[in-house]
Amino acid sequence: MMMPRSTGYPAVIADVAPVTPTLRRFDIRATAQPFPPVSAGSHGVFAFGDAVRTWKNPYSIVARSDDGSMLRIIVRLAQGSRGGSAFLHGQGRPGLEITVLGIANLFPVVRKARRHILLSAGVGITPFLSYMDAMDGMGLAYCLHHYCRPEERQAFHALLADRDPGRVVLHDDPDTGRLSEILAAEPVSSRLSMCGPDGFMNWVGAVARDVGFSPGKIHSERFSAPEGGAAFRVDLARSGLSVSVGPEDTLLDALEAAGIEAPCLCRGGACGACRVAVLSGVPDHRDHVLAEAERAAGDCILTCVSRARTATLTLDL
Amino acid sequence: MDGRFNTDESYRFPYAVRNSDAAILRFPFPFPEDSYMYSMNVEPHVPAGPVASLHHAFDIDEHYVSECREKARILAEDPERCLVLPHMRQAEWDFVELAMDSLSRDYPDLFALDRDGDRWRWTNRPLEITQDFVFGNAGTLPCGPFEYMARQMQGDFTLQDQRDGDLWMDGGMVTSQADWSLKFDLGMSFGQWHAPVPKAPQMGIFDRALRFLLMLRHGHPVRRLNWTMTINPRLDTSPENFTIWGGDRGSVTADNVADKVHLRVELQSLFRLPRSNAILFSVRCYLLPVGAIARVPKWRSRLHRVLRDLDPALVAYKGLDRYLPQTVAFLSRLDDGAVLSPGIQPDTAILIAVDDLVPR
Amino acid sequence: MLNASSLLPVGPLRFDEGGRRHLFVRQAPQLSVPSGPVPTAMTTWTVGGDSRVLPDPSEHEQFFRSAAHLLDRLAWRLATERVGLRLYAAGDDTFLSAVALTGDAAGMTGEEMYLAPPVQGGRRVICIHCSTMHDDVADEGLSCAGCGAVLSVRSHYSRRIGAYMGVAESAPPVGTEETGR
Ligand code: FES
Repeated sequence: MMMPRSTGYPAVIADVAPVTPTLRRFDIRATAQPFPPVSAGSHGVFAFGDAVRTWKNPYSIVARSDDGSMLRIIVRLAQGSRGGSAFLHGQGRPGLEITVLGIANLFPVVRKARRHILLSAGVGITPFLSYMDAMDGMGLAYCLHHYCRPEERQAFHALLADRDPGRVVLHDDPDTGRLSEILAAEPVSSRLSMCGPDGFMNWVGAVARDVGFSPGKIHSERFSAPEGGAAFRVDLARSGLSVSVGPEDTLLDALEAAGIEAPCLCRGGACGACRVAVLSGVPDHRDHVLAEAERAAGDCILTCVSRARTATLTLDL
Repeated sequence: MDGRFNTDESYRFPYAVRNSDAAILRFPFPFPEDSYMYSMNVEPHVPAGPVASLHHAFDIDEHYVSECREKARILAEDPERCLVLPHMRQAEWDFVELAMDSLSRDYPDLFALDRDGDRWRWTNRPLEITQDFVFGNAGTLPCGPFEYMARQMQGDFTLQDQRDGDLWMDGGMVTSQADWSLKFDLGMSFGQWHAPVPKAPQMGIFDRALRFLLMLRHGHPVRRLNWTMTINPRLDTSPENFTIWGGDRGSVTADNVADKVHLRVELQSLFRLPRSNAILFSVRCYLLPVGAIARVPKWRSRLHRVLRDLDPALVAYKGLDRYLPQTVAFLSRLDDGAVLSPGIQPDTAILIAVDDLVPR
Repeated sequence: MLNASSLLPVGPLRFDEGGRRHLFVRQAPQLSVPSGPVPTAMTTWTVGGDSRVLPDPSEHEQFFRSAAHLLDRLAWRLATERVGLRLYAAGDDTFLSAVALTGDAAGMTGEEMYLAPPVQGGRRVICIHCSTMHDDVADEGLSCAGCGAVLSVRSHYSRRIGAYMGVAESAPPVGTEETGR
């Protein structure tokens, strides 16, 4: 697959370090203009790959150096994954070229709120590393509760070693009674932000609502890793083109490779920017944006993560 | 911008504002067609476009020094024209960086920015300012960072916080507005501050506009033109001072219409701010008397047709009813009925001499 | 769809089952409590209009001497309140404005505060020209008590200020500025 018309910030991997057996930290150095300032909670879309293929994956930006020369991300190796994250774990060594295609924020800090409780599990800690830096700078009160496996405790302890110990609590046991006590003690002004696997967020969300958090004060960001599936074909009604989507490609990648100007922002099923109308065929929705009714109607698709249940889809492109 | 400024202008009674031929030709005339319908008409804010006023991130023109002086006077009379809520502090610094970077890049003969880490030196030659300060340290500037920089720019600025799927007007400096009040609207959501705009059908427009803006990306600003009309070259048409300017709307006669009635155009540009994730609205006001517009044949005919056929509901909302007939009558005598090219470009490099503005 | 209104959101009061503690504040004893099953953790605060009353924290209903007295205590209570509180208010426009301001200042959101339709027609209006505040304005217009401007009331409400905008837009005399200076 070809690299896209490359706008964005050219960069290389400068340093790699393990965080836990499944998490790896990458420091990425800009090779042309410096990276722009980054607001806490932002993600970047990173393009990288080899002669065979290119991935464009979203990762939370953990930190940016003051001079804009470096960005830091943490990447998780999913079990059995053959995607971009597996490639970075395997081939992501200093010198590997990476382009930062774009930076956006779908998970901004609610700056007006004076008190924040942050809940994360596993790699879900990444946006909160930037949150805590920003909140320290703004003088906002916060407390992070991070959940991990007992054997990872040491590694996360090290990752959080230079943080205020009064504001960071590690848990290696998802105890509902304990979480309920923690949340119920929050002041009325508190905002809750959570990040982690779906099961974790469903659990935290349920406990939070149970102690009386109003839905609007529970904030989360849900990205989906695009997973492969059966190959399918899309017919584009406006341009008259036909594009085939391989089992490992995303629909969005395939459209871009065919030279179609397809809208997108997060490339992780989290923002809705890539929504396209479906004229025929049945979409296989894998995003976190569409409402239940929109899913059922089947007349639109988020091209960055979703696929097809039918052999072909006709899109309004 | 050649660095020559009209330094002796007055934007209040007794009015004294001059527009050079060059200033007239760079006016962002807002009507690409012979009829007007409210729309979002948003386009990328790139350094290009049919008139020169669109060619910079923040436009500086021959009125710069006089407008900054008028702004300072309004702020002295009413300090509540500049208000920023405390959680917008990072957005203030974002604004300082965007403004100083853009102005020094676009107008190197007028402005300079020297950065050494976080130790910055700002030079503003037209206003004779040199300021050393530490970026991020408000104590090193004579006033708040947003106020400091907004005082040195033409037009109004507001800072929108993005939270809970909405935009909140949580700061701004507003001294050249078309009848809205910052101190009243501060803290409002997108829907709340648009509440006074009539016509329910437009709600769909605001809905789409909000969704579009929530996705606005850093480095990809957008712009649109909005318009109304103002009697006299008066920047401050605020509700606060309606008691002072409101009566002027009844003062238009056939004899003074060319000089008194001004087309008021807002060049609205919107920028995502990178540190704060806030959005900057820049609302730059241009005022041109219809007598000056009449010196561009395409513009006078088009303005005539637009005003003649304007929806009465819009006439009422924009408050044009007391002088629209005189304005249309003045322009109708200058409209030869020729077919006009689409777009806002003037289609001429030479203006009709004032003395030749004889009715057909 | 975007709600392009700046007015205070009001509607019939109903207990919110998402809440864990419920506080109903009212300007007069005859104003009725929210509808729906009454939660166990529910307190009513009522303005008594009597300088001798003292709120008794052990009672489900506590009385306050005046609206100002109640609002003062409300700010104190919210400052130490935990998550899970729902606030309900009934009274006139001025009272509701003040409750909303107090709740906003404590970091509560619209989902946690419910306001009953105001009991009288009168609105709170600020003169945009001189900032004089007017309570209980029943008409579409008034004369400003501060600067004398003849104000029309715009259908535009500032939650931060707690008032509607009054503007002297009923055609002031021609050429005020030219003749006035
Ligand atoms: S690009 Fe964000 S949902 Fe597809």
